[in-house]
Amino acid sequence: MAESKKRMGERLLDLEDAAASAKSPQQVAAVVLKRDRSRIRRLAAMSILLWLIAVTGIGVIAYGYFEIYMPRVTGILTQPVAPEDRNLEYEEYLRGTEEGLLFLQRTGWIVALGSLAAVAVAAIATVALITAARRVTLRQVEASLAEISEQLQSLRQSTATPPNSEK
Amino acid sequence: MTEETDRLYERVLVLRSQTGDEAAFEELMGRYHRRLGYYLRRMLPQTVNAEDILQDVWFDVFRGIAKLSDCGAFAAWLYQIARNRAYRELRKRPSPGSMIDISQIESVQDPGEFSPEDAEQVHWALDQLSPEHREVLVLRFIEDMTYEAIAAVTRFQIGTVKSRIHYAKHELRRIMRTTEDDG
Repeated sequence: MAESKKRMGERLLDLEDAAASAKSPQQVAAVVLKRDRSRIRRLAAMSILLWLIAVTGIGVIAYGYFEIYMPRVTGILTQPVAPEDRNLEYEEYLRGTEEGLLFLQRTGWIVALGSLAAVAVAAIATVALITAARRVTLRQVEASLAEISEQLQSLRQSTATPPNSEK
Repeated sequence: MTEETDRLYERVLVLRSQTGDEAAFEELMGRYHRRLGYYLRRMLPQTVNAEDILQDVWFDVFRGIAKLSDCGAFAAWLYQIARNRAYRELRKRPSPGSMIDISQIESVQDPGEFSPEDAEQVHWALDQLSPEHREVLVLRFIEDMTYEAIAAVTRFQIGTVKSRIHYAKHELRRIMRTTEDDG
């Protein structure tokens, strides 16, 4: 019955082959592998580009804020104020702004550097995660190979055992 | 090669492919390419280029093979991917084939197996079946899958698979008989 089903399957495939002008498996394999390689190249280029954009973005913002914006604001704040412009509210506002700027001056670079470090650690963690996933796959492969070895062993034993000779 | 050693050899091919061995993957493709092509061509309407879908399926397989945990279940997994792809295509282009409510069909005689000599007629008659019936029969005829394997591919209960195959065979016989009578 199984043999007849197999023959039926083969005949159906032969009928299809006569009608179809299909590509050979080797041709399709070549296309698939090429597609995968270009996908990996695209992914690698995209990741590098995105990391570069993120790092450059943090750098540009930090530089612009601390090196361009803050000196200007500090300059404005340290300018002497004409006595007629002085009032309590304005002075309180100036004092608050000055304190805020001093706080940012002390901690801002630490935050910027911390963010850069976090981005770098995130990149390393991503690589580590991929490596760990690869290790899991390898362990899976090892377990399957061990199972196959056992099956081969029992197959070898069953073929090596001579048939029971009747006395 | 006996069936047992062949199965083991295929598992080794899957494992080698999982480690990135391209030659093993190519060999694995060689084993299934024809049958998978037949399955897809039966599943998809003539307007869809089944060769392109076949290539996409192999691409998905190559990308995902490392995640396959049971290398002995490669065939079922492969056909699941192909099935999902085919259904995605079918959703884009609704097929004129109607769904048959098998619960409405009363008990019928088991139509039995088809002989290899029937192949030409079966090949033609398969296209006249509803997609649901055609699918289970192609998996049964071409891939020689067990009910359990077909259930794994289609994600139906084994009972559903059995009844679908039963009614699909019955329907196939009916179509073949009608054609004979007309001829």
